[in-house]
Amino acid sequence: MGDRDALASAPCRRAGRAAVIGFLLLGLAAAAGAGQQDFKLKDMDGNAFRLADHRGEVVYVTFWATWCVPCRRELPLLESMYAELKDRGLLVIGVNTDPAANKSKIKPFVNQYKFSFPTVLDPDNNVHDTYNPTRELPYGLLIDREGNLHKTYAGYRTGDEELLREDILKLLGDAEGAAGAAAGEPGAAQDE
Amino acid sequence: MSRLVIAALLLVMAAAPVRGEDGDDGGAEDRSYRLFGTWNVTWEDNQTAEDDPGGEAYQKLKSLLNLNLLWWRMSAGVQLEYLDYSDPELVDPGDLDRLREGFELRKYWIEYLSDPFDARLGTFFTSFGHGMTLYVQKNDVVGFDEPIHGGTATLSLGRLELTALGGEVSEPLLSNRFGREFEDNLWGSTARIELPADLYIGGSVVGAELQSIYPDQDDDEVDVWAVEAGGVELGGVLDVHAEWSEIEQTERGRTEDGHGGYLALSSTMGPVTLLGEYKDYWNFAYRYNNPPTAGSTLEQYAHDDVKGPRLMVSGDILRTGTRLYGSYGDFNTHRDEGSLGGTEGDQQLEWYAGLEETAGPLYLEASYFSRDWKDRGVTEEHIIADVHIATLGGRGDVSFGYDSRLEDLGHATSDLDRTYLGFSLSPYGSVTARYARDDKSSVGTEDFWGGEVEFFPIRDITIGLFIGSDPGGLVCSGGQCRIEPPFDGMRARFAWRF
Repeated sequence: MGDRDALASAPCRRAGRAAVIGFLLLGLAAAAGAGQQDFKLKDMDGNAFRLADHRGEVVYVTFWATWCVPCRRELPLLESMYAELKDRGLLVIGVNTDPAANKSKIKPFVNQYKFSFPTVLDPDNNVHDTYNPTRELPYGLLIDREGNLHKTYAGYRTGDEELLREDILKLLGDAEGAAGAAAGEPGAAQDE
Repeated sequence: MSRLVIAALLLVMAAAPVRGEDGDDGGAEDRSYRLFGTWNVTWEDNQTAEDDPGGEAYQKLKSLLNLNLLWWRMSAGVQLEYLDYSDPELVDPGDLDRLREGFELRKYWIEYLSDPFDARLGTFFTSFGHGMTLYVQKNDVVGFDEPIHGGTATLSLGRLELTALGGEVSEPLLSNRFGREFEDNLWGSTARIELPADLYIGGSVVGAELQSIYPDQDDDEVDVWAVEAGGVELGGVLDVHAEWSEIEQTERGRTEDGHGGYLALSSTMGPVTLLGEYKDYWNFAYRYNNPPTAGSTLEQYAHDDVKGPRLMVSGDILRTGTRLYGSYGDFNTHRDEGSLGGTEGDQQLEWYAGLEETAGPLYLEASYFSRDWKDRGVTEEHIIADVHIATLGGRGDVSFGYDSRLEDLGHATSDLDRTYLGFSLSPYGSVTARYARDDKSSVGTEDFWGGEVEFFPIRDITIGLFIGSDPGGLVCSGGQCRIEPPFDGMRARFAWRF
C-alpha cells in the first residue's frame, strides 16, 4: 500500500490539482463576463433537471433537508411566493440534501406539504458543497433571468421572506411593487 | 478486471459528446466567464483538551476559500484550506483536523455538463442508488469531509443512463483513530433504464481496496453489487422501490459474504401519506456504504444484522391544519445465520409520533421517539420540542427548543438534555443561549453552557461568535441547522459569500 501511494497516488493528485489550478488561473484572467449558473440533478421521480434550461426565469434555489426545522418553516412561505409569482417568471427549486439512504422518504415528505414547485435531489451534496462548503441549512441562491447569481441567503429567520420577496420583485422587473413591499405595505406587489 | 471494465466504459462515454455537441443544450451556450465563491474563517480557543491528563488549551485558525468558475458547459472549483495551530503538540485527538496543518487543497474539480454526457475530474462525493453499494460523503458528525479523488462520468442515451467512476478516498475517522491517513481505492458503475408504464430497473457494481488497519498487511477487498426496480405513481398513487445487494469482503485472507434488501412503498391519498419500508441487512456494512434506515432520519441505526418492516402515516390527518405523523417498526436480527456474536434474536420495537403546527405568529413542533430492545432490556427515548413566536411586526422571533435523549441499559443510564432560548431580528442576526446537561449514571453529570451571536452586516457576510461549551450533535440556532463536533472554548466565525 505504501508503495502504491508513493508511485501512483501522490503524482496523480498533484497532476489533478495542477490541472485544475491552471484552469482556474486562466479563468481568473478573463473573469469579467457573465456566464450562467448551471447544475444537473434528478427530481424525485428520476427525471433530469438542469438549471441552465431555465434561463429567462428568475430562479430561487433553496437547499433543505427533512430534519431541518428552519427549512420546514421557510418552505411553505416559498410555496406561497411561488404560487403568487410563477406566472410572472419566478421559479422556485427545492434542492433536498438528505443522503441517498433517505430517498424513499422525500417524496412522501413533499406530498404532505403539497409543494408545487419542483424538488430535486442532491444526495451527494456536490452542488450544495459548491455553493456552501460549510453546508448550513437552509441556504438559498437567487438567480436572475440571465443566469447570474444575484444573491445568497444563509439560514431562515422570521421576516427574511419579506426581504427575499423584495429582491425577487426587483429581478422580476417590478420596481414599484418592491418599493411598496419595502415600505411595509403588504399586498402592494400582488395588488398591482 | 473490474477496473478494465470501468476504464472501457469511461472511454465509450468520452466519445459520446463528439456526436452530441450539436444537440439542444438548454441555453448553456454562453461562453463568457463567471467567478463566485465563499470564504469561511474560524478562530477557536479550544479548551476540550483540559479534561485530558496534562491537556492544555490551544488555538486554531482555519480558513476555507472556495472558488468556482463557470465557462460555457464547464465549471471548475477549488477549496483551499489553511490550518494553523498554536501548538500542534496539544491538539485534542478528537479534533480531526489535527492530521493536517498549513495549506491543503482540500477539493479541486473540473466538470463538464451537456446532453447526453457529463463528466467530473478531481474531487467529488458520490452514492449509488439508495446508498447500499456506495456512499462517500462528508461526515457531518465530526465536521470533516474527505471526497473521492478521481473521476466520474455519466452518459444518458434516451431511457438508459450509465455512470462509471474511480478514485482514491481517505476514511477520516479511521485515519484519526490510528493517527495516520488511510487511503482506499474505489471504482464502480451503475446503470438505470426507464421502462414503459413509469417503471424502471437498474443496478450497480462496486469494487474497493481498503487499506488494512494492520501495518504491512495486504489491502482488504470488497466487491458489492445491487439490482433495483421500481415504479413511479403506479395507478396514479403508488411509488415502489426495491433493491437487493450482495457483498463479499476479504480481510486478512478471510472472506465473508453478506446481503442487503430494501423495499419502500409510498402513497398519498387526500390528506394522508403512507410510507411502508422493509429492510434486511446481514453482514452488510463496509466503510463506504450507508443503506436506508427504514426509520427516523434523526436516529442512529446499525446495518450489520437487522431485518423487519415499519409503517409511517403522516399528513393533515384530522384536516385541522396540523401536520401529524406516526411510525411503528418491528425489527429483529437473523437468528439462524450463525452470527459470531451468538445472537439468539434481538427484537427492537420502535415507534415515534409528532406534530407540527403553524397558527398565526406561533410555530410549534414536538415529537417523541422510543426504541425498545426487548431481548437486551435496553430502551431509548428522544423528545424534541421547538417553539417560535413571531414578534416586532413579523421581523422578530423568540424561539425555545428542548431536545432530550435518554438511554437505559438496565445497569446504567445516560441522559443528554439540550435547551436553547433565542431571539432573531431579520435581517440583522440573532442571539442564542444554550444549555445542555449530560447525565451518565456511571460517570456523573456534566453541564454545558454557551452563548452565540450571529450578525449580518450585509446579506452576503456572516459574523459569528460562540463562547462556552457544547456536547456536539445537531445544533439549530440563528435560523440555521448544522451538525457540530463537541466544543469547549471560544469560536469566532467570518463567512463571505461572493
